[in-house]
Amino acid sequence: MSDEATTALPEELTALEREALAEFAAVDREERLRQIASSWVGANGRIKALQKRIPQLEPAERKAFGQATNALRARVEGALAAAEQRLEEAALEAELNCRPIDVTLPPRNHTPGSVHPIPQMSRELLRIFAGLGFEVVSGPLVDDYANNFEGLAFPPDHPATDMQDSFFVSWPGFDAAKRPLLRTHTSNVQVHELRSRKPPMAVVSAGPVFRRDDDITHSPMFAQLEGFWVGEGIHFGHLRATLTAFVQALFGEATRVRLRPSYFPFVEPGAELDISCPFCPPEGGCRVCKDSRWVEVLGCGMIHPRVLELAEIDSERYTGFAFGLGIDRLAMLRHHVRDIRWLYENNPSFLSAFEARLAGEVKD
Amino acid sequence: MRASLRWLEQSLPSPLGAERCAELLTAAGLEVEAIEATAGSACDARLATICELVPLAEQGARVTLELEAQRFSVVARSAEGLALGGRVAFVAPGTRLNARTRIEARKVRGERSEGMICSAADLGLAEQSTQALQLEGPEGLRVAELLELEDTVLELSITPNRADALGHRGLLRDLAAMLRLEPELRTEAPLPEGLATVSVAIEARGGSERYTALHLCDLTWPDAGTPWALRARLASLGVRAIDPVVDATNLCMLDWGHPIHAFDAATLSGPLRVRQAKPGERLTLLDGTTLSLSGFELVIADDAGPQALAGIMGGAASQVRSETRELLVEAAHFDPSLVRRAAKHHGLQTEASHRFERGLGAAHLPQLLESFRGWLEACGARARVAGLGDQDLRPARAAIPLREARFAHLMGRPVPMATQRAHLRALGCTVSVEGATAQVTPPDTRRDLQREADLIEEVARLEGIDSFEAAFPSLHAPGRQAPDVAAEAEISARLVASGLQELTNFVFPRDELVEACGYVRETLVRLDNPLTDARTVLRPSLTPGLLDVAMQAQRRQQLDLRLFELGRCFQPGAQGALRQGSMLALLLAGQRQPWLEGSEALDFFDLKAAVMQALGLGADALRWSTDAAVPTWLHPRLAANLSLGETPIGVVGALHPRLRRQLDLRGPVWIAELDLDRWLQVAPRAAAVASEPPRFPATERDMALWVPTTLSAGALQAALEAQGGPLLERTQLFDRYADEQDAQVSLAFRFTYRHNERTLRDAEVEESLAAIQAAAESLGATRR
Repeated sequence: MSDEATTALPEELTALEREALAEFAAVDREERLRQIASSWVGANGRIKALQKRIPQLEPAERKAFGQATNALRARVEGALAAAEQRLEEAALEAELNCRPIDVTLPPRNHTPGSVHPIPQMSRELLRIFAGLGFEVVSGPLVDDYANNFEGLAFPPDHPATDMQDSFFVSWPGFDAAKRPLLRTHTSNVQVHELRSRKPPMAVVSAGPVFRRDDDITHSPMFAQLEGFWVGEGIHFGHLRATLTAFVQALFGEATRVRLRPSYFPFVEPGAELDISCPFCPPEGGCRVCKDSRWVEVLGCGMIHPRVLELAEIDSERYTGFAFGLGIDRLAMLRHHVRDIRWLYENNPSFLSAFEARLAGEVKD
Repeated sequence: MRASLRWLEQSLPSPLGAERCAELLTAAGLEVEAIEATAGSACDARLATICELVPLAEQGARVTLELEAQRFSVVARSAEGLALGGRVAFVAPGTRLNARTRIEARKVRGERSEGMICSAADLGLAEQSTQALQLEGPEGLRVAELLELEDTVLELSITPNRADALGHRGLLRDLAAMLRLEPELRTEAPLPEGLATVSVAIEARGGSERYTALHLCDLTWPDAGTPWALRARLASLGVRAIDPVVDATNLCMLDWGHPIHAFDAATLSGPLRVRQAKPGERLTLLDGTTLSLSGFELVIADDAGPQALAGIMGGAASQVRSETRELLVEAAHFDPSLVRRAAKHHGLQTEASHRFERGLGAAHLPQLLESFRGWLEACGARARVAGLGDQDLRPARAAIPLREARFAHLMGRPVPMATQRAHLRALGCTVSVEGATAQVTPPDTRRDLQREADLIEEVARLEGIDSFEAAFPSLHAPGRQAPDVAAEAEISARLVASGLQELTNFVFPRDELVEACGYVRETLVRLDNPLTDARTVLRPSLTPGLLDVAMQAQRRQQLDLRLFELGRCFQPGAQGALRQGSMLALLLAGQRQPWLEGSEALDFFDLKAAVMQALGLGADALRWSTDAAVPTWLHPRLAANLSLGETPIGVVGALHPRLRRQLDLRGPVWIAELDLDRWLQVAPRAAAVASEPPRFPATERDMALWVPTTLSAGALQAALEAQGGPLLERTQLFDRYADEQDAQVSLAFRFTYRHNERTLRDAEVEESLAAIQAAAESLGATRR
């Protein structure tokens, strides 16, 4: 018995090794590899079975058999590792060799929304002014005649009110003596704020305003922005610095500013602010400035002392500047809108052009 | 206001050129909006001599003209007034009639014509005429030079405070001040001394500060009418030439910016009076319209009644005609506000009212009449001065104090008093300086200068308003946004990102839609003077406007609509109060587009998602309830009230099917309208509170229940969660199956359990599930 075992040994191990290596070399699936691995090197595997025979051997043979079995186990485990690696590489290769996708197919769960150019421009302007130290407020759309005109030092029956032909309104129980109207400009906010707080203050407000006009360049409702800064020692240079910073934030750092005298009843001195045209194409023929190189952007000036006095603010001690601009016009310039009425038509296809995107410069 | 460059330059020591002139005026605040050469500037017509004349059979004549030894055979459209040896304005072939028209040899009535003989109409000097213009001067002289057709017109936009700049003298004053030089203004011989007194009276208190009238007799009219050069000037300034008297009044107005009026003195009876009209009094004006006067208007009247509507238009009865031999010429001041009210009331905006309502001066009225006499002569008429009337009620005007340092205070840069004084004097102010304060009396034509700030503006204008250096004011508070403004921006960004389109509607929607939504016009804010009868109220809700947009869009076959609007709505309250708060409305209609798999109709839950997206809140924070009534424009069963805590913040649901049919909308249409102001009052503001990140795994258990349809999923889930115990982290409804015939639905919930300090034990989870099941059963649900 023991002779047999002793003599049979080398051949048996060699045969086992050959068989094991062949099986590992042939395997092509992870699952099958696990089974084969288990049948050879598992707790009940064939190598374990060989090791279990050691106690029955002649003591003299035990050492050599043990060493030979261990060597076999090491070689089988080596084959297992090689097979694992081969299968892993094949799997990776297969994943890399997948069918390519058509990346031009539409996105899932995506419906493009769109901003409206007027509120978008309005919010953008307010953000800039908030950054310059202004407090953003909102004001009433229906207001008393006095807050819209008289509080701003509009002389009664003056042609200046012609520029602002108003819509008057009434409702059950309203106070007719107050002659309520749809505000003709955002400057009514100035009246409310000057009366309700103490200087210093820097305030900006934007929103719809209303005049009885309706044609290609006038809409009965349009949007304005109004800002003002009142404090001790506020002067015209402050107006220039603030508004220059604003137009440069909106139109780019290279924008130059030009002030011209003008007239608004609630400022004195009053001015119009022009900017160097940001739209001029290099070849000339500018659609915006008609090659004059300047574009009118806003009206401004030092707050008329009468406006401060009407709000019971000491006009000797406090001075301030104010400015106002048309939001629609800026939006029209930016987006090449030729007819202001397009903006209020709310045609969804027209609005689709204004898909949400990161805020761009007003420049072309 | 149109201004002639030629006219302005005549009063300046050297020509400026149009560009420079426009630049200076604009820098002075008199904005030049356009510069254009007159049509006649490009006219190549020259004087040619008639050397042969053969009348044509039907009309006109064949004329042989000689120009610089060259002969041209030309067909004249009319033979009238043509005489051998006479000179006519001739445009030779290949040269220009004006900037737009080049004349070539061509056939006229079948006859070859080498060039064109000009009529007054051809040169833009008359409305219509075919008769050749006969001129005097050396052969070869350019007609443009002879008739002063060459000019540049400046189109100015004059702000309403600058009545003084509505004439060439006013423009010249600013121009000269900008150039730091004296203008050379045209002056006339003074009126003779010892004239008879013409009786005039200002009876309307406060209606006029001064009324002057010049009586001219023995008027002779020139045969040729107003000289062509002056007609050309009037034409280029947009005024039609009529007759020498009218032309002289117009030229005088364009010169001084102050309208005057000439009456036919023979038609007047008794002295002229400036008085208020009597209610019901009638006045027929020069343009033929007859007014019935209200009583507030100012009129110029004689014994017979009103002869002119003061400052607006003269009357027909006293109109100057070709047979007029005696004039009464008025130069007056009228109260601007009365002129304006009358002009507006009668719809008569004239060149005169435009000027008077802006506030004209009164000091210069005698000079104005002297000047008229000069213009009348220039127009070719002759008359004898017979008398002058002048009632002068001008109040004394106080000087305005001007402190030297106040300029720097307002403008940021000091200007020495001597310079300030020089600028103000250049503008015609009288200035007396004492120490650091000046007493300034502005010229009477500058009624807009009333206080110190006005004077500072004048100095700043002449210093150059663009010359003040920028300096940043120091911040006194950080910039920040009001909560409603910030919230609107945020809501808009979120809705746009989730695929909705923002709208901006008029606050006055079409009445038809407002009424269709069940609002009663009388309870709303009404426009007293709407632009159109179709839009007469302010919106109480954003819904009518959104529905209108949807209707228009659907008519264009745009059926998939995902729209929203943020804006104010106007709701009258008790005791005449008016609420004008911010609202948000959403409208969804059409199809949802899952990925490449066909499409499905949008439903309530798309709307719900959009509302939650807008508010940025989880579903459990909001209460969706069907207990209370919804507005009449919503479907009574497919709509809900939305609240946060106890505060109602809006409504959501399907458009009422009747309204949908009435508006011809393809449905269903889903609408939500939220009150943003209320929302902002109750919206959670407290910062979120963090809990420790979980370290132990969660366990999930599912439970499907048969639930009676009378029990809402929300109520059931709330009841289950209440019994789930402290380990229940989350409950999620993940499956719903409804058998339409059945009175119950199957709802499957997934419960997620977790213990924060250790691994869960099965027994704990089973205990919670048992409690949940019991809660479900107590509500009539059974485990499936």
